[in-house]
Amino acid sequence: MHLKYVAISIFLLFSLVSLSYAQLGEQAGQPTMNISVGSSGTFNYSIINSGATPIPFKVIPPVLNTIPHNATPIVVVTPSNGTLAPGSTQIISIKVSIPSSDKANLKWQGIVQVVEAAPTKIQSSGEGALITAGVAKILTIYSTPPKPIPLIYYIIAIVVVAIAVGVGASVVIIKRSRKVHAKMASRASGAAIAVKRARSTSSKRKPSAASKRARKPAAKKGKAGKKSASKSKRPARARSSPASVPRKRSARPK
Amino acid sequence: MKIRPFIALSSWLAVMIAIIAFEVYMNPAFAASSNSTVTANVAVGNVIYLAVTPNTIYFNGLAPNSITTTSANDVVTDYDNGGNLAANILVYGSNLVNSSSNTILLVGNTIWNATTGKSATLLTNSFVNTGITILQPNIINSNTSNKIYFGINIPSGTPPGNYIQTIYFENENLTSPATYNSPSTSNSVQLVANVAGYCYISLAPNSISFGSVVASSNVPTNVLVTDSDNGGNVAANVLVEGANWYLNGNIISTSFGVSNTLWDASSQTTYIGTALSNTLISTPITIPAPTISNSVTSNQIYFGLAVPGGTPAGSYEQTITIENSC
Repeated sequence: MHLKYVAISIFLLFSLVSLSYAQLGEQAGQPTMNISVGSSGTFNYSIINSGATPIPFKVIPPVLNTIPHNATPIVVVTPSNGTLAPGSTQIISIKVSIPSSDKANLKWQGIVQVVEAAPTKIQSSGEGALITAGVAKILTIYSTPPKPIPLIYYIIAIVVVAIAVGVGASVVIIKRSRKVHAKMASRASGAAIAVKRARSTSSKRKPSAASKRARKPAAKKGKAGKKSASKSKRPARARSSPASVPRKRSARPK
Repeated sequence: MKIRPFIALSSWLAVMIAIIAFEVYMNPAFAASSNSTVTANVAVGNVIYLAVTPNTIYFNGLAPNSITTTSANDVVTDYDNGGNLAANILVYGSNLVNSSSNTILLVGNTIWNATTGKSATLLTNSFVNTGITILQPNIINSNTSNKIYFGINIPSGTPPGNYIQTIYFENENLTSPATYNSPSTSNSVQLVANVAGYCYISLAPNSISFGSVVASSNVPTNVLVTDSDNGGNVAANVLVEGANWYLNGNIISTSFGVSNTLWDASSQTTYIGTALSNTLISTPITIPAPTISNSVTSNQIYFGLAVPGGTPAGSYEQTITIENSC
């Protein structure tokens, strides 16, 4: 008889012989993380082997939901695999980083799995469904607004600005005062020059007899050089007015 | 007359000499004071002192159904500060008590040893000679001590919380007559054991069979897997996921989809239930929190299968992952 059912799937009861499972456990507490945009956070918990045989395990990181126009947070779970000795514990660390481009008040979820590695089995006949044990954490992530700048930074900024303003103002004031002094100095020198001019002009006129008599004749001693109108020890200045004829001193009467 | 004062003075000197001579005669020590000795006696008795440090030792984040072996982190130093006898350390303790949950763990859950490691002795509620000796102090080394290490066992199902125990010490020299330490205000240590919440998973069986299945036929959702928590102390939620069926378990060979497998919290007489997927999903199945009196709790999950028409003959294998989450 032609068999209608060509394909016959036979699933036999496996007399599979597998190593007895040790007992895997995890510390209670679902991780809920509130993380500022642009920063990161860490959640740690323990897994344990309460059985009598080692447990090889692997970690399956979470697959988070996506939110349009926002990057998915980066989740790193360590270690990625290992072997739990009988009676030992292992810390599982979940580190989450939220990109700075993301908005605040967003929520992501995913499951962190720690699964026993496939047992060693001796296949006698047929196959079937292998049952694998594990423990899981439902990870929830909330993005919060960026952390405000601490007050101390504002204070430092104000102090720096105040110092900068003070330095700038001082420079301006110093420059202005120099200008003023320069002006004053130039005015003073101008006045002195005017006085000199006035004096030199008056010395050009023909001296009267009275003025002659009023002058004290000086004894001829040495050279008769140019004498300035003033008997001060100022260095001789170039006169802007035409040079006047130096006065000759008459001899002193005896 | 000048001779009278002379006579008076002479008489006075003679009398003084006589007195001194008489004293020397009556009290030889007076004459021989530079050569006499004084004998002093004092009786020093046997004494042992006792002081222990630190005042408190902590065990943090303990899991139920676990043993924390004696370690260098949980050590008490017992001092004899100024005694003059060698002594043995004796210890006993109270039960561990969590006043919040009114849970008591017996004193024997605390273990001690002279060294670190797994082998240890159970603490009792009456003094036991540990055999750990404190050397006899002397004038050169008047402060001697020795160490004793502690560990702890947390029974299955122990509720979370802090458990407090007092451990008492005594130093004793057992020669006859036995000598004990002088009264001490530093003769006890408080042990604080913090038990955290934990859930465990144990699956039975670790492989299931759907028997011989013809293509285009199915198996009712009644193939059982029992999920147990052996020794935890909090309730757990059950999650499940699966993979595709592969011929001879070879993932590059012929396969049919994971969704052909169904699961259900109850046994069904027909092929009904929720399709398995390759994404871990939460089920309404929970494993109750174990307790000390009921330290193993469990629940069931059932599977069924349909083989698609045209599936080639052969032995197919699938991996089903069941996880507890707490």
